[in-house]
Amino acid sequence: MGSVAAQVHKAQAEDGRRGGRGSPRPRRPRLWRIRAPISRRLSVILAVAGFVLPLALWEAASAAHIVAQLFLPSPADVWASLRHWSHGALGHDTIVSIYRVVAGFALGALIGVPIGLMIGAYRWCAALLQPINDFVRYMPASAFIPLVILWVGIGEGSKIAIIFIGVVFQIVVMVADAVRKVPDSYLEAAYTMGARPGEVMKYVIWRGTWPQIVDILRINMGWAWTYLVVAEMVAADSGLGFAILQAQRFLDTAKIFVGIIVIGLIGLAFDLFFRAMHKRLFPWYRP
Amino acid sequence: MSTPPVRLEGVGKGFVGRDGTFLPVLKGIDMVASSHEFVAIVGASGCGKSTLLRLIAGLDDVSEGTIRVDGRPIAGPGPDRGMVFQQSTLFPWLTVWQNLRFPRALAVNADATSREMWQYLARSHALLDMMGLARVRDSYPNQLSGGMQQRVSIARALVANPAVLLMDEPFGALDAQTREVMHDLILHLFAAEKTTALFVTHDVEEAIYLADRVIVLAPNPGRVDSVHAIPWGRDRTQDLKLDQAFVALKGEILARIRATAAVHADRELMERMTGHGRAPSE
Ligand SMILES: Nc1ncnc2c1ncn2[C@@H]1O[C@H](COP(=O)(O)OP(=O)(O)OP(=O)(O)O)[C@@H](O)[C@H]1O
Ligand SMILES: [Mg+2]
Repeated sequence: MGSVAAQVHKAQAEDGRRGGRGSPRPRRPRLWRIRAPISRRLSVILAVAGFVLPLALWEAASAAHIVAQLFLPSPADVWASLRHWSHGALGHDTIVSIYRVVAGFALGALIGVPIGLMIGAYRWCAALLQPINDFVRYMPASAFIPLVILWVGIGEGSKIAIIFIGVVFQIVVMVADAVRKVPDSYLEAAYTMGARPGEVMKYVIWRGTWPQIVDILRINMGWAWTYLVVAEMVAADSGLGFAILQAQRFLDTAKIFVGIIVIGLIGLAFDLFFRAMHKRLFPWYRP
Repeated sequence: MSTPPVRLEGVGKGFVGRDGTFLPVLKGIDMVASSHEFVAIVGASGCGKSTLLRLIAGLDDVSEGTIRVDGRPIAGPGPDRGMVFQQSTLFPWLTVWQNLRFPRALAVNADATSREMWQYLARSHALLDMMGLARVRDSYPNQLSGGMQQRVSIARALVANPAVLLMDEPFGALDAQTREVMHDLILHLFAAEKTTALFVTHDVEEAIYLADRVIVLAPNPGRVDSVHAIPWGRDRTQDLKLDQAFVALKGEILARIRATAAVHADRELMERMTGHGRAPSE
């Protein structure tokens, strides 16, 4: 019985395959074919589902009272907390945090990108700076807090400095690697057309690595946000990270949730911005 | 007028291996390419054809000897020697037209007179038309087929009006049909261009069909084995490839390559065999 069913199934499958070859639309979307494209609709549905499913699980878990309110507030609690906070300092906290992250990140990019370009392009720069950069890169940014307070004080500068320390060394390595991946043959082609080293730097290396650099900045913007809470541990009196730390002290779990979610949403917005910019600026780019 | 565009005298090149020993790749190369001449260079794989072209381009420095272009010893790469590589080196971030115009932005061309600039522009347009690229002028290189990309590469190398055009297996990655089209295009192009060409290939038929002279390099270390004058004028058609004399010449050159390569391969094989043979008896 079972074997007959299996044979029928197999025959149907073969039929489907034979029919599928010529027909314009395959019977099933081939989700498991590696790198198979999916429709725009499906992609949106899946993205929404990726948010809605955990939300539903969360709602179910809190409704069933599996976990104590203190540890897992319900979505409704979080919503209420958000409304409450938004009448208060949420706007200000958000702006302050965005300012710190963007400032620390921008400073990191402003200093990290040129150094990365130098290391990638000139062997002597690599010999001089790469080892020390890799050495510092593995030190946790949070460990610099005492030093930063000592050097920069407890003002706005210290928060920006922590975020700066968190990203700058990563930007340097990643940009240097991107520069090294520019094929030698591009440089040689430019030289045979009469380009000077400075021009090769400007017209070939800089132009050629632009897409990767924007990608690197996108990734590091994400990391900058992860350093926010650490940065706002330093004598802050506002900001999303500060609010989260404060909420922890008062066991206001719902507010912690709100803070984390708001950071996530802002991060997502920045990510989408960078992606959109990438697509607009580099229509020629094929990774 | 009398100075040839390219003159090589006793050119040698070697690389220092990983164990510190000096490996000669080219040795005692004497070679002259006269004005408007199309010279093809063939030889067994690894005999140093690419190395030779890179030396002339100035991308590598000679170990011994001198290379003169228009009578002057070369010092590094320069716009007087255009180069086309086997793999496309078009800048993917520039369109076809922008790639063609790339040399224009460089400092070497900064003090061009407006008349020269105008000629430059006219030349870009002419090359675009002659190479059949007008339709794709605003496309990016990765939207083009391999054959189209090489057309753009050749046009880009020619736009600065170099004294010499160096081509290293420019059609090596193309299929047979596209190659034939490219061959006729090259013949047509060089009937109009006043550029001297050095063309490296491993395809003997291609070499004879395109060149005025075919130079066979022998490997290990690379040196000139023989020089074959090609007796036909520039207006050639694909039918020529079926000509008795053409086939005979092809056989002759192939025999030279085979002879030189066989010596090389046999020697290597012998060394390996004697090496292995001795080891167990010790
Ligand atoms: N940078 C380098 N360092 C060490 N050895 C090299 C270097 N470049 C080339 N060689 C050696 O020089 C020899 C000639 O290389 P080359 O690429 O010029 O040969 P070729 O005639 O172009 O070969 P093919 O027909 O395969 O392209 C090879 O044995 C190669 O290993
Ligand atoms: Mg080669």
